[in-house]
Amino acid sequence: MSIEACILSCLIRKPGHGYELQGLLRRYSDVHPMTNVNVYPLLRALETKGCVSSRTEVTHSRARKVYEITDRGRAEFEQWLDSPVEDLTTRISDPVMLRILLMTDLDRSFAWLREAIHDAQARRDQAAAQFAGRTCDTPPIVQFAIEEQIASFDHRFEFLKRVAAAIEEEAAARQGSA
Amino acid sequence: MMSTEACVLSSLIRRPAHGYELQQLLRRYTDVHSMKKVNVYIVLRALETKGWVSSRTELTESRVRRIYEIAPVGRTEFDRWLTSSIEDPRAKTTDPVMLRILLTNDLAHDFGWLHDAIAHAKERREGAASRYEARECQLSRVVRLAAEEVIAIMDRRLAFLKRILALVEQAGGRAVGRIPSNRNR
Repeated sequence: MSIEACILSCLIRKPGHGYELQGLLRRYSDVHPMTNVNVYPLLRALETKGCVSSRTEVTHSRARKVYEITDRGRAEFEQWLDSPVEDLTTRISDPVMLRILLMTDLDRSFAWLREAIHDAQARRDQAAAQFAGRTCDTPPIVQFAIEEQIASFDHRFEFLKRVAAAIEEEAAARQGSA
Repeated sequence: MMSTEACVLSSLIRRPAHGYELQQLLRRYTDVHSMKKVNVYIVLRALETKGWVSSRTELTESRVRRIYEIAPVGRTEFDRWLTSSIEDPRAKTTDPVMLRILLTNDLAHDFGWLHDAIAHAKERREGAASRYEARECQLSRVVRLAAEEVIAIMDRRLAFLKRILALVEQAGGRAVGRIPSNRNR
């Protein structure tokens, strides 16, 4: 239901066509992987259940399907928000953190760490910019969550820099003692 | 090489082990690499087929068990993996609690799950801390940094969830910050 809930939430805000929705879902990709999500079969399933309705719209002589929330869909979404969270476990797959935990010695190439630091910085800046434009119409609880996510990107960046500094120090100490 | 394979090789480089033992050892990494659906026996078979590990059967207390050992090729492959570039360095996270919070439109909803989430976060934090404390003396400085960060992440999550709970309680079940459903029509 998680992805369906994201779709319903977007459609409650405003009607949209599939391509648009696919883009909007990316907002949630930091807490729910969306890489293999195809929004069209999900929309069809939601339409069959009566949670969304669609109409065809002609723009620039192209026919597009526009999806809208139904009363049923709104009720389903509200009900979902009241239901318990089935699985409270966060599943993380963090290749950089894993690599650090598996490191055996410091006499190696750490190009991957430099790349990871670079990426973490880009990610942090991107998140801050992405969310900067969304503040005015966001409920405070969501605002909190967004700030927390930006903070977590910040922490990751700082952490990776600390790791790089520790590696350099250790290497220097070893050269000094050799 | 898959991340799970790297974890298995790393454990076997330290010492030979049988499958059940490895399955337990893999839990060490569960905070950064989710192992929920991992069957270590399938991973071990694949590694043996590639010649990266070898196995022999051992008889202990009249039970036959298979012991796995690192092969020279496995050692080389693991070393190569450690310096290889990481294709996508971003963490992939599935966080049902955060998703629920991000989709909340109205504080008048039932937030019973938030109490469960806080209890769960506390449990996980304590589990991670005891896992790392048990190993602390054997950890290198860099690995210790990472272990501390994993626990710090869990502490921050706990604090965050408590702040959210305070916000909900403060609102006292009133509809605060509701998104008008017809705003953009």
